[in-house]
Amino acid sequence: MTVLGQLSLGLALLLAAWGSVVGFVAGRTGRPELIRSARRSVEALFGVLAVASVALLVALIRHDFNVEYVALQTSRNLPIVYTIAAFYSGQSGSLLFWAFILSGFAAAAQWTTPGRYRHLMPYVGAVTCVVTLFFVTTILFAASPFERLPFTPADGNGMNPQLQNPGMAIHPPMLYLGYISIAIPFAFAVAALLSRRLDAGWIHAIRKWTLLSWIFLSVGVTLGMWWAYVELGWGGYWAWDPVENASFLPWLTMTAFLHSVMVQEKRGMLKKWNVVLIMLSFLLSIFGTFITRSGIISSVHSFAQSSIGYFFLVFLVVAIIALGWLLWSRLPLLHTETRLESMVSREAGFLFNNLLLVGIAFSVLWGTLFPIISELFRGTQVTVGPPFFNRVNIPIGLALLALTGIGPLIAWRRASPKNLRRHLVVPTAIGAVVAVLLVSGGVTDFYSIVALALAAFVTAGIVQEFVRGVGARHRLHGENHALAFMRLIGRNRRRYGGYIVHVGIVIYFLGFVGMAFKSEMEASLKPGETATLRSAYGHEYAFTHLGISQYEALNRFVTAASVEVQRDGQRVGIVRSEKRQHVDSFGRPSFEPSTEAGIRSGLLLDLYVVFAGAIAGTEEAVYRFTINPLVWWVWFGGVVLVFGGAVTMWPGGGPTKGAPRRRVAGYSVQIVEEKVAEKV
Amino acid sequence: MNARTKFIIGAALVTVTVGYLMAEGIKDTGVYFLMPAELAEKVATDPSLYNVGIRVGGRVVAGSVDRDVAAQTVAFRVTDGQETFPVVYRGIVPDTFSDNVEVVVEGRLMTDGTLRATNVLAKCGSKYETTPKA
Amino acid sequence: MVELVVGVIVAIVAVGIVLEPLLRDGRGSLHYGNDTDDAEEDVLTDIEESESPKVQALLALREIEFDRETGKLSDEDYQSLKQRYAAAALDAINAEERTTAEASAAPGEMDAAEAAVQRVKSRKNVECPSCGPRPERGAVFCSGCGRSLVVKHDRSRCWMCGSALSEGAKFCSGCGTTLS
Repeated sequence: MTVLGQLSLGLALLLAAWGSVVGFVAGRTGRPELIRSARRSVEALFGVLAVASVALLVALIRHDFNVEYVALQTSRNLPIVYTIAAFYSGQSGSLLFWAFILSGFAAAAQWTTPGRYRHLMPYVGAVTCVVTLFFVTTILFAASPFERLPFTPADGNGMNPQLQNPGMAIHPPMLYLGYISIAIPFAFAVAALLSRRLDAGWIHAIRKWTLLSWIFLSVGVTLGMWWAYVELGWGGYWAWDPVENASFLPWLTMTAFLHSVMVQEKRGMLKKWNVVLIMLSFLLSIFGTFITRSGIISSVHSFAQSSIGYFFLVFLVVAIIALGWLLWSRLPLLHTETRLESMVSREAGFLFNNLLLVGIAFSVLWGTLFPIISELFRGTQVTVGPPFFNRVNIPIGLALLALTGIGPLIAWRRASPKNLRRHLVVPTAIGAVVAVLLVSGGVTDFYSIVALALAAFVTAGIVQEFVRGVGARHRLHGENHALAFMRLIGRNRRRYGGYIVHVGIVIYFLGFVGMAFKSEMEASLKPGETATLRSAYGHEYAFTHLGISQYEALNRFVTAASVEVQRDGQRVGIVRSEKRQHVDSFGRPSFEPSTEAGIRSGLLLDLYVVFAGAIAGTEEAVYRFTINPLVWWVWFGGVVLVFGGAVTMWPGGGPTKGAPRRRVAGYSVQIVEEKVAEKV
Repeated sequence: MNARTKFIIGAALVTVTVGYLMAEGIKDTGVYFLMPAELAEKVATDPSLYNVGIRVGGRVVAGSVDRDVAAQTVAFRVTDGQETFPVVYRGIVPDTFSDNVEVVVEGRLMTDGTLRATNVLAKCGSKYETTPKA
Repeated sequence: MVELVVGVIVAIVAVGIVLEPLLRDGRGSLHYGNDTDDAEEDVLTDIEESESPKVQALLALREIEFDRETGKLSDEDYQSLKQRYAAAALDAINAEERTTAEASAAPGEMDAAEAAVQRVKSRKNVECPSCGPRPERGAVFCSGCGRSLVVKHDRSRCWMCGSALSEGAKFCSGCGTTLS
């Protein structure tokens, strides 16, 4: 299928180039035939990239090992799910996946955007075509998945065992969907700048896209944490690895954008800032792909050293210069409509929220790039690890959590001290009570106390918002409380969906706090021997080594070790951890052995058992036991967050025939002015 | 004082705090990342490098790995082709750790010239194109 | 071989789709911005997106009322804001009613000024490709940058000077520009 694949890619190159030029010219001149052609090229691009993707999938499923990519990524005995997932598990395949999804989003943007934004669409098409053009160029000239080998191997290399995990089948596409969907709001922003139509139109047009990409990013990052937790076997889910940071950065700027865009909608402020944020998010998503793919920062993840790094670097530099120029030339059009009226107002809260989010993003970026920066300026590489990131980001993160609680309770424009007191008194009291309880309960970790107290504060604030909202509807509309609650959310999905997302964030923080209380030990045990470990809640856990068993599975040879766990003398169950040696279809070992951690999860804590190896020839096993409190809350937080996001995005709100009225409105104001002038 | 000025002061305070946290963080937790040759050169002129946290990158010398499973220690030598340092590590080495593998050793350089590792990170053998996790 | 054939077919289809609008005669297609018919289909799915001053003012009123009820706005603030928005909403409503009344008035009863307004209104809303929509309906040149706003395919007026053209004219009677 490589001929068809290569042909489609070449065609995609032509179409993307055509779409970029024609889209731009169509936007400038407004000629209908060009507008139509630009739109058609976006659609056709989606079509040919779909053909290329199908070609690669067919090659994978048919086990055509003459294709280098297929031989490197899969083997005959690889389960079918992972054979399909191999589409995006390797470098060149993942680039094709990027380009294909981007073209799909671009076409969807053309199809779903309401007609009243049609003046932006040729430019939007042009921008998406330029980005696709970059990816197709990189694939064709640096990393094609359709390269053939001079011979046909009898079997492929197989997939890296660490990637053979259900999380791995959905985590990269989710994260990619997040990364890629940022390109659409970005394209609208650039289109608005190019067309000089910088009213609220483009902000409205991208509302759903921004939320969608934010949800994808959140899910992608959370799934990545889950994958690292169950698969990497070091007992945690976040190590501040460059690749993890790269996925976190656009999430931070998108979160900032989601908030600051509300200020622009409501008050006409922060126009320049919003444009900058969306550009930054897009650049960071490309930068994230660049870091992952170029291996520029020595990271456990970035192994793939290849020339595509230069392609990305050039694209980033050119994009930064072009966007900088565009922004500079349009600055006069981005003047703010109103000024900040008071420091105690919702907009001021949003401003500080943005400042903190960007602060975190900057410190993470700085820490990630510090090895390169120090090498450039000091000659030697200086690296910073988790201690740096924790030290900087825990205080900022907690300040942000506090703002999450305060922000929604303050009115727009200006809040009077009396009202502020009225809203803050209950949540503050509840937060203080929690802090006192924790201190008297013997908790000494300062950050944990603050985090939990703030979590209680934020939750109380949100509950209070719901209660008062229901009360207000009850009084204003005479609805009963259940109906008032449903309508409260239904009629104001953005506000109350946002509150649900905040609850999700609070739950994440609970999970993070739990990690401060993890306990860990390593032990070498003969069968029947026991190691004990105390949990953060004061329970005594006893791990008794039962024995080692060995057997063969589909594509691997497994050595499993089991322990029986007792809590304070009560039997909890058996936990099993495996060492896996993956083999190809001829039974020869492929890859280094991998470890499958044994995890017993609960609401309050996880027991995490890693079998590190047996002592030569005996049944004596070396284990690492970890007790991780509250890990599941991180995944719960993710679920709540997605639910809140879905509420916010739920379509509807009542269609109105607003457009004809709007067309007249400008006129009527003019006439009114004339009449007033006559009378005076 | 109007709201704008107040906000600018607040923003400046936040920025300075973040900057301070970052500067202090780097000063206190930043460690040198060196190849064995660089380390040997630096140590020769600057004895303050002994007994502070450093990271050393290099390759595991083939046949140098000595595992003592009972004591959970691993001894090996790390090299960049020019200089070689002996490493002692107590703990569980990653699955991918073996002869000729690229490793990053985190730990301290003792005055006797051994690296006492607190952590060993291994990269995959170059034989396989390993996919970064997205 | 089959692959090559499929590839060629894909290529022909893709190129055909993209180039078709260019090959077709452009006459009769609409310049965006002056397609008043589309306005009727342009249904807002979210009332908050409406740019009508009336809708915006009413939304703001609804919101501050709710904010006062939940205790977020003090009564004094509520009063001052309410006055501001109520005035804006009233203006917008009045203005809207007046235009509807004028538009529905019988032609015979119109005075000269209103007839002029009506005439201008009956013209198409024009949009400049680089400066956005123009407030002056039926404008021939952009009041911002001076670009000609007449589409070349529009055979009723000259694209150079905007003079009305007679059926089948090859040169403009106003400025002498070649038209075909």
